[in-house]
Amino acid sequence: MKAEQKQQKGNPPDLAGVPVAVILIVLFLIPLCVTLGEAFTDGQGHFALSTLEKTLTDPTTWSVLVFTLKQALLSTLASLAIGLPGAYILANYRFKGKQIVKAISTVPFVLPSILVVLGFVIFYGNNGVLNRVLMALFHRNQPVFHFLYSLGAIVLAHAFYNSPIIMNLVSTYWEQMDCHPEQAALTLGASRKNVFRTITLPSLLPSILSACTLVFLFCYNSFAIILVLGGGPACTTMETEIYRKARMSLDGPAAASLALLSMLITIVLLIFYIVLQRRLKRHEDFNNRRYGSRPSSVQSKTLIAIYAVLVAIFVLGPICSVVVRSFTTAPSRTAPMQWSLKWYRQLFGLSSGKDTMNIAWTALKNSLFIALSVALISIPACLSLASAAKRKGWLASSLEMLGMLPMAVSSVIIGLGYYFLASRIQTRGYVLVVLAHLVIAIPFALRSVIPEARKIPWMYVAAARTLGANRATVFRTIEVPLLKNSLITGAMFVFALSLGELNATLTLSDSSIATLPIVMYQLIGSYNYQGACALGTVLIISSLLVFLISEALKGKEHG
Amino acid sequence: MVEQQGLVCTLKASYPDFSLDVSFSVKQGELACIIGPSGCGKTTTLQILSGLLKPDKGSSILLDGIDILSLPTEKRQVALVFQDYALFPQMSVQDNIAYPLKLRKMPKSGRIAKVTSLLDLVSLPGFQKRKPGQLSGGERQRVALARALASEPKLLLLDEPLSALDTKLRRHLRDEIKRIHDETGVTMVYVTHDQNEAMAIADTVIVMNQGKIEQMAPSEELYNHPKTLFTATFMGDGNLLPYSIITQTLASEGNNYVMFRPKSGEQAIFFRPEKVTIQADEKLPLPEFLPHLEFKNATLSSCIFQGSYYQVIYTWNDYKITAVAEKRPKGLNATLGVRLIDILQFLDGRAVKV
Repeated sequence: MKAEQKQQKGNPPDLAGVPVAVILIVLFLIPLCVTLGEAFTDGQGHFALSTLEKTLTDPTTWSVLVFTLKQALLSTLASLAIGLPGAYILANYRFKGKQIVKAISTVPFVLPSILVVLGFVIFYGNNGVLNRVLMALFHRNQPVFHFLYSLGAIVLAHAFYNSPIIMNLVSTYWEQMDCHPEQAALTLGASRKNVFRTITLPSLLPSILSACTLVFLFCYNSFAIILVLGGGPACTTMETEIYRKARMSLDGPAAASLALLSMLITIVLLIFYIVLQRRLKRHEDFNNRRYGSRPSSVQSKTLIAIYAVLVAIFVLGPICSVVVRSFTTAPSRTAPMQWSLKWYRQLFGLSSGKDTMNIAWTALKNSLFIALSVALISIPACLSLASAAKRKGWLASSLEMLGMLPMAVSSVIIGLGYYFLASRIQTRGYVLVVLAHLVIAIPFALRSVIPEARKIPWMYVAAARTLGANRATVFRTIEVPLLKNSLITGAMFVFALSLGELNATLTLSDSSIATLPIVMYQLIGSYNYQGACALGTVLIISSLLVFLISEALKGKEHG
Repeated sequence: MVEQQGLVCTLKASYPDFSLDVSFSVKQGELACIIGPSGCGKTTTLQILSGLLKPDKGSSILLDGIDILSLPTEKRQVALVFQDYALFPQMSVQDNIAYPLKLRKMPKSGRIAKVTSLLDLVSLPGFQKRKPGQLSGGERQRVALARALASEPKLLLLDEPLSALDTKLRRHLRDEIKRIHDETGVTMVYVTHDQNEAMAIADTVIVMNQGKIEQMAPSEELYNHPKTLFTATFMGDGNLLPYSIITQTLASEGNNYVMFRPKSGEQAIFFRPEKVTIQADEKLPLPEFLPHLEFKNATLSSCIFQGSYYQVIYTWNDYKITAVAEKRPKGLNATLGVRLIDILQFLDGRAVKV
């Protein structure tokens, strides 16, 4: 038995993280219980199974569920088809700008879905960039593609959103996979194709499955993309149906019972995901291909270049066109575009005239206030949770599981819970929004902090203790400085997620609290795309600024 | 009772697959080495002494007459140097060494002076600004040593401090540690699995096996008069033969074996390679008159060049006997002789007084 294990057996577990964990669980469980309670009541607030029964026997429920699963499956397959070649390239080749590509591939984790929707409409829409280019190329007067408002649009948008996630997760695993078995197979006479089929693919499969499950979960819980790009009753998923029932039909119990059904399915998915995660081996040996080789043949170079250009156009294109479109205006539909700050002036109330809206300042102020509060609260919360989850044992693993729980419950359902809560207690809406965002965002921050906390060698703590530092001093002088960078990354994640959060905020406050994503959603709804683009650009710039500030705050990596 | 300065301890601890039960003392200013195979409880002993592990009831640790068992790690004044250094990666060398000084609220000027003198002591002058990542393994271990000394411990524990380093550096640093011990006079307990390291620096060597102390003595005594077969084989090379061959084979060859008293149980004889004399010409008598055990008609099976000497391995009646020679032996056959006073006898693993 190793000394470290003995050490952990000998001393009582660190209980510092428990109070914070309890608070978070309460913040998560109260709205959940309220939602569940609502599912078991009738219209008058008495206990009844009739609502649940009605929902479960309604054929609409089942057709919505089938559609939800269908679009999630198709989206996952599409993401896989686009993301896997990228994962191969990233894991096996060394080229200029690789780090940038890797960094960009993490953006979808924090990219607000409303921005994706907007970029999609601007880029792929009937009057979008792609159609304009194709119309000019082929001298056509009609749009070449009719993408929007269909299952195809949803799948494409999801693929665009999620393929970088597949690329990122699979390539990270692939990169660190021990390459000696493959080399051994080659020396034993297997062809490259054979090696891939018999050695590489089997060991890669768990990571592919795990990434796919995550993407499936994301697509299942997708909200803004369905709401805008689905465009009608034919494309309704569980999440949008819950929102419509709650905020449009004002049928709380029906929304709650749908939420219950939806939650059961996502919990099954999440358990599957966790089981897969456990199967992924952690690679600590140095036989990995981290350094890769440069692409050698002309053929591979060309293929990589083509893939890179296509991904750049189809993934970065929509986001860039949002920014570009926000600075342009066209006097008429066919006239050429001109550079202009018209939309910003309008939104920020700087232009005089009837079309002035002062909404942008309010939205920016609200969004920054909420996101900063959530980010600042998340730092001490993550710190104490991570230090508790660091030790192995039942307490740590249950804390970690609880930290994952909010992933099983979609942000729409969390918003719904807080909406029910808000109707019962008198609290200021902002507080509830901050709490809801906290519950949604902290699991993501923990994903950055907990692995770092686990990496701190036990002997650093032991050495500091033998030099005369007590437990609290060790935490302050050794552990916190070592966790600083991951805490900043975590807080940055939380900030970005909160800044772009639409689902819970919309379900909870139904646009009574104007945040940037909510106002963008309203502008898209009223076909003011340029205005939405301008706000989207403000959102991107705010996120970028915070990202730059947090990078500047970080110290150098050690080791 | 006179208070004994230094360390006096009895440590008991049990784990599912291993239990520790040791009792030893180290005088103030002494350097004791704990040596034993991996898993024998060396590291556990150090961790209990430093308070990182809690021992079972019945244990006691007295340091300069004070019971420190109930004290938490940080109050024990027991520093520990780790095998993989455990330097804090985010801090410079200066900050690492000054860490215990800051904890004691030493003013900044005092800290700078102290760090400078400690860096001089470990032969790393001018290394203050470097980060641990910029140092070699040997330099890191010197910094770790300086940091441990900065806490002015009453007892300094070193847990295989050199085993991550290459051979040449290990020897050099080993002598440095001995020098630093002599200069500072701090009581040290040094854990290693390398008997050469232990013999070179220790005032006292504690041989451990399976959670128990086999023998505790100065290294010469351990080497020449091991109390157990384990100590004998662990401390250096040796030839181990069953006792039965002496009564069966050697008796028929007219050896003088009266000194060996046969007993029941598993009995064995043991002698060091350098005690074996090689007589290539069988007709000549062995050069000394002291009673010898003779192994006639031994056949040379291999001869390994070791630099200053040759390790020569002979086969005699299906047994291998290792000897040491200054020159490569000429003939294939030889008579090997061992003086009876150089032969150790063991009965069931314990030394038998002859």
